[in-house]
This record gives sequence, C-alpha cells and structure tokens, in this order.
Amino acid sequence: MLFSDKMAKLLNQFKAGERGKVEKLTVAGPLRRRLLDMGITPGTEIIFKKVAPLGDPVELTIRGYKLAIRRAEAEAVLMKTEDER
Amino acid sequence: MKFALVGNPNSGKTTLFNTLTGSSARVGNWPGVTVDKKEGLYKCRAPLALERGGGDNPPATKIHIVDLPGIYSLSPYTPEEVIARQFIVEEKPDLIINIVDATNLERNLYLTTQLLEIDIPVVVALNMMDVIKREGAEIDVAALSGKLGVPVVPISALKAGDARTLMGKAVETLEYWPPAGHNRPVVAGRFPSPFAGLYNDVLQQVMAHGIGHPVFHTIKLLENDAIELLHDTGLLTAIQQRKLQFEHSATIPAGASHPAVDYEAEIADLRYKFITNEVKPAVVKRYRNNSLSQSEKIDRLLTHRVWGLPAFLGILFAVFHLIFAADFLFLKRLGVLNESVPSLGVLLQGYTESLQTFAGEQLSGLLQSANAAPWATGLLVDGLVNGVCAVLTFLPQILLLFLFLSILEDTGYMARVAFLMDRPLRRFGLSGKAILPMLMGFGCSVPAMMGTRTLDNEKEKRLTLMLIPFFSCGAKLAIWSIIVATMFPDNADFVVFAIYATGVAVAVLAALALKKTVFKNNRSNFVLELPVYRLPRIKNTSLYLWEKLKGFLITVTTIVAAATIVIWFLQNFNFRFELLEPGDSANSILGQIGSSIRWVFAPLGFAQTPDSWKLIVAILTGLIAKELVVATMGVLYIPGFSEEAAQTPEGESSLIAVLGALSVFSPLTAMTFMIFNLLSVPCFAAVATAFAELKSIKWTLFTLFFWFTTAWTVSFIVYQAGALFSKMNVATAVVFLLALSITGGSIVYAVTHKNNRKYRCSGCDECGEKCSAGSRRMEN
Repeated sequence: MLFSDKMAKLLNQFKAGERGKVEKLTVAGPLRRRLLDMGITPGTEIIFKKVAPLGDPVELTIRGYKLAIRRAEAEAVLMKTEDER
Repeated sequence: MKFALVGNPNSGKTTLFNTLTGSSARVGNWPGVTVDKKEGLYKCRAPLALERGGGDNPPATKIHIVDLPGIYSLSPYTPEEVIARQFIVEEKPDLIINIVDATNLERNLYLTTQLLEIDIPVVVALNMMDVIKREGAEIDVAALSGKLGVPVVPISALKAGDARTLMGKAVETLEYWPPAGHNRPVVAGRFPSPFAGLYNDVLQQVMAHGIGHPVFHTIKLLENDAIELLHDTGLLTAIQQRKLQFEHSATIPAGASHPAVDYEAEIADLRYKFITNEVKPAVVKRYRNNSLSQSEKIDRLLTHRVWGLPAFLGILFAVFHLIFAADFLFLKRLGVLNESVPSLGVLLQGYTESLQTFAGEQLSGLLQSANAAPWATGLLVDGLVNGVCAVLTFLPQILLLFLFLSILEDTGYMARVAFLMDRPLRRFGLSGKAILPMLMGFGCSVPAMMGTRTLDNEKEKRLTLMLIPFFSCGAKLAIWSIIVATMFPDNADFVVFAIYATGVAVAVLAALALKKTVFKNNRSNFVLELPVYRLPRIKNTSLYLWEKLKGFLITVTTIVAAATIVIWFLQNFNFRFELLEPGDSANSILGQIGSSIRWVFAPLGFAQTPDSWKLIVAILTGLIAKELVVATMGVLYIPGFSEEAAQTPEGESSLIAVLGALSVFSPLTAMTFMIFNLLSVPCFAAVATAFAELKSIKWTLFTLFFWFTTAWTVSFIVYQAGALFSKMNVATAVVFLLALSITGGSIVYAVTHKNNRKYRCSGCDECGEKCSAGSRRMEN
C-alpha cells in the first residue's frame, strides 16, 4: 500500500454503499478538470453506489445527483473515510 | 436581437427552445443531445416590452433564440464546451438565458457562476419548478435572485405562459443593462488574500489591454486555459511572470500539487463553496429529492449486477417483437390461440398495404376509362405507384422504431445502457458513450453520425462513425420486411432480429480489426451523468415523430418519386432511346448496366441468373436513398410479372407476392442480398455527413472502401459457407459449425485479451483495476 494511513484510500477501492470525503485528485489535465467540473472537489462527500454488471464503470452519488465514472478514473480520487473497521 | 440558451445537459433547454420557438429540435434525456447550435425565432404572441429607444410606435421585436449544446462548464476540453464558449464570447448574444434545473441546483449553478463573469446580461430560468412543488420542496426564488445578482424566473419549460413571463423579464433586463449597481458575485474576487492580490493584478493588466469580458478572461488566464488569448503573446508572458512570482512568494495552499499552484482546483473549489455555503442555505427552504430515490429503485433492476444486461437485451427484443412479430407473444406457437395475432407494427403495415393495393387499382381503372396511352399507364402505375407505395408500406414500422428509440432516450435509460455497456465496448476501442450514436443508427445514420460529436476522443469518434452503417437504419427496414415476408413469413421477427444481430456482430468484429490496425493506442475517459428517470413528454415525442414523418414523406414524394420515374425510363428505353416492348427490359439501359457489372456480385449468390441485373440496379439506386432498393424492385419486377406470368392465387400483385412467385431468391441468396445491403455503403446523405464529420477526403475514401469491402467479404463468406453446408449432411454440418465458432471465438478472445498481458500497467484503459497504485496516474 502506498498510504499507511488507514483513513485514506482511493475511491477505486471502495465497496458498494461506502461513503467518504474527497481528499484530493491525483491526476492532471483534462480528466482532472472534468472531475472538478462535475463537482468532485476536495471535501465533497461521495457515496459509492454500485458497480456495473461487468465490474466497471462505477456509480457515485455526489452533490445530489448520480455520476458514472470508470475505475481507472476513480483511481485518481484520493478519499478520506469516516471510520475503518 | 439574439438570445442564447445555455445550461447543463438534460436541464430542459431544448424543451424550452421548443416552447419558445414552436420548433421541434430534438430532445432526449441524455447528456449531449444538442450537438450543434440551433437557431429559431421567438414566436411573439403578446407584444413584448420595447426595444431600447423604440419611440412611440416601436417596430415589432424579432428575437432569435440560439440553443447551445448542453455543457457543465466553460472549460476548453469538449467540442460542445468550445462551441458554446466561442459563441458566447465571440458572437456576443444580446442576452443569456441560463436554464437551471431546480432539482439539481448545486451542479447547475456551477455553470451559472461562470456565466456571471461574462459581461452579457443573464436571466436565470429556474426549470422543473413543477417537480419541486410536487415533491414538497421549497426554493426561495427572490433570495436566489439576490444572491446571484440577476433576475430569476421560475418556469416549467413546457408551459407557454412561463416562457412568455421569462421573455418579458429578459427584455426588461435588457432595458436596464448595464445596471447602475452591477452586483453580480465574482467568485474569484473572494480569493484568500495572497491569491486575491494576484487576481487583481492580472485583472488590471487585462483591462489595460482593453480586452472585453475582463473578469472571464482573467480567470481563464489564471486557470492556464489552453485556448485562452493565444494571440496576445505579450500579455500572456507578462501574466506568466506575475504568476511565477506569486508561486515563489506565497505559501503553497494545502491540496495543491507542487511546484505549480493548482489554480484550476482552487477556482472550482471556490465556486462550489460559494454555492454550498452561501447560496443554498439562503435559498433552499425545504429539500426533498423523491425522483432520485425513485430512480434508484428502478435502477435496482435496470443496472443490477446480474439482471442489468439481460434486462437490456429483453428490452431490445421486446421492441423488435412489437414492431415485427407476426405472431404476437408467440400465442400461436405456444398453442394458446389457433390463429396468430400480429404485433402492432405488422398490423399497421397490413393496413397501409391494403391502402396501396386500393390506390393502384383505382388509378389504373381511372386511366383505362380515360383511354390513356399504355406508356402513360405504365409510367404512373408501374413506375410511380409501385415504387412509391412499396416504400410507404413500411412507414408504420419505421415510425414505431423511432418512437421506441425516442422513449428509451427520453426516459434516461440510454445513459444506463452506456453504463452497462462501457466495459464490453472498451474491449473494442469504444466507450459506453458510443452506444447512443450506434443505437441511433437503427433510426437513421445521418443524425447518428452527427451524434458522434459527443465523443471527446477523435479516434473513438472516427471508429464509431465507421461502424454506424452496420446498425441497420429505418430505411433499410423496408428491404428486410419485403424479403422476409417473401422468404421467411413464419419466422419474420427472428430473421429480422438476426439481420440486426449480424450487423452488430460485424460491427464488433470490424471494431476489433480497426482497433488493432488503424486506431491503435486509443485512450478515453468516461465521465457520464446518469439523469433521473422521467416519463417521456407526449408533446416532445409527438413533435419528434411528426418531424420524422415529415422528413420521410418529403423523401418519398421528392427523391423516391423522381428516382422511380427515372428508373422506369431507363428500364423501358435502350441506349438508342427507343421504347422497348414490355418484358424486354433486359436490353434496356438499366439492364445493360446491371448486367455489365454482374460479375462483381456473382460470387455472392444472388446475381447468378441473367435476370438478377434487377437486384444490382436496386443496390445501385440504394445509394441515392435506401428506400429506393425496394422501390426499384417494385418498378422492375411487378410490371413484367403481371404481363408474363400468371397472377398469384389471391390475384394480388404486391411485390411480396411477385418475388415469391418468380423465385427471385433462395433462402440463402435472400440472406446474402440482405447482408450485402446491410453492410454496404450507406446513402449519399450519410456519406456526405460522414465526410463533414471526418473532415478529411482521405478518411472518407478509406471509410467508403472499408464499407464496400466488409459488405462484399461477409456476403461472400456467408454464401460460400451456406452453399457448402447445403451439400453436407446434418452431423457434418454441426461439427463444422462448432469447429468454426470455437476457432472464431478463440481468435476474438485471444485478440481482446492479449492487450492485458502485454501492456499491463502501462496506462491502458483495460487494466483499470489491475493497477493498484495511483502512482501511474501522476505520470500522465
């Protein structure tokens, strides 16, 4: 693991139903801007709703609407979770 | 005067445009339905407030409404955003109507905060207020207007009264622009102190250069916007230096990546903070989002891990069954009823068919009683009526197909299909978003090809465009219907489904081949809003169908009618322009041309008899419009038939009966003829659209070559394999088929999976979850 802190993990590693807050985006360029524009900014709460039938993409609830992104993109979102146990 | 409609995808912009202009621009519950800007004239029922300086008797105000593509932001990354941004900044509309979805304030207002930075009057149209009321939520419109510093008009986009209030407010706003106390919130003006100093300095420089919309451009410059003010290099350098100076002096804000300050994230963050901390608490009194939870319930089935994909296939099959099945719900096959009940599509088609027979008989009766010359009767009845009516027969089925497609789109299901299909499509170098243009291809290739613009990756866009003709369009439906009704009447729905499936299968294989050869190293993103499910609006759907009906009737009465007459002449005259005896059409101009290129089609099976030049001519005229394939067959086969051969038992002379009685096809050649038409070069309109979208002669020529070769090769394989089969006994055939499908399957598997092993973790799209660390993303 890159991150020893148990509270921090990548959005990609979430399970269905899990929620957390955005810590930061670890990607640059158009994708970063796109994610920011769609409301994935630091401190935003994200609920990881579900995974598509074939394992990818994933469905999120954010700012009161639903957004689908790929796992590869979720990997670019570093999250903070409330509690890990 | 020009008003621009700007708003998020799926916020009701196009519906409002329709209400304002009475036009029928396409609406769908899919992000990105408006791919290009559309213009309409505001239908002014009540006299609006006056134009500035109008005098005592002002001229009637003409207002052009421009519907811009739906956008989330004014960033420079997608074609829609660039179109909208260039229009707003460069073509300077007199006013912006910013349509905001009240049920999704947070994300919608994000765009609003950007629009407020442009020096153009803005009126916010707060849409979906009916939904807000129904759900028992409450939004303080006056408070919202106060926070944004611009007028806010609550509307339901469908209501004409609301639209009129909105336009009244807009014209009033124009009169008082620029307002004395211009009090719009400038988000960037709220930067924490070191940042604010930088902002003010850059703003001063921009204003000193006399650049219009200084706040907008200042923020774009801070964001390192890729398409911003590239011509003014002097200013750009000065600002870069100022920014560098700032970065060295200031402490780096938390969360920004070193060494450069992350301006983009800072500004996006400020915008959302402004909305959540300042606007929402003051504006949203009560909030409930029942539609979201209802949508979630529906999605529990439709995007379910196990049932999601079967549900999609089931919905597709249901659509085909409703349109094509002669035995509705398999009631006869299951033994429930003795007689089969036709599905809606087949039932309606039956009606139009009898109408056609009736019209033909009436007309020829009329002509006979008027003692018209035989050639005139031939031209009118054999040419015009047979040709045009052969096409018209399939109108109900074509309209039904468009109806179902538009319902799937309007409800929001299409976005779910993209969600379901993204993973499988990625194997073929496409993203889930490509599903909409491809499914639209089942309606018509032209809008489908235009729809590829919503794909943000150039390679993916070209690839999708090349595959679209393989998705059998509505006009080709006429071909399947007539041939299937002739050759496979008992299994019509299955055979038609098989044709569509063949198209999809070829598209899949072609995508694989192209991905491995022409479009290597394709990378794309998939960030897609899943809109709340909505019931389709009857008004929108009927407007859309009316538009399709009108388009179809215009094609039939102009291109098809003219072409049938030309074909009739070419078929009844020889190269010396002499009128031929009836039944001698093989010596006609068309017959000669068709026969001379018969060798090209001979290996495909359907062009082996001397008479088959008629089918070749049908294929050629299909290039003008696919409806003409059937029309041509009607003109070429029916007249000869009624004179040479006996009438069919029922005495009818429809094309179906004639093709059957003449044994034009065997089951196998019927299949290859359909497959060739399915895959070959689409109509001129589609080719022209492809050229417009590809923006390159080289690519267009390659695409044409690709379509023809694919069509010929697949037909060839099917015919030769089929001919081989018919000589085998059942056991050999089964073994052969099994061996073939195993080989084919393993080739596909090997090709699709090779990528994973070879390029693991190099950043390809496929290996998403196999790369565990986020580190590689940083390298991009």
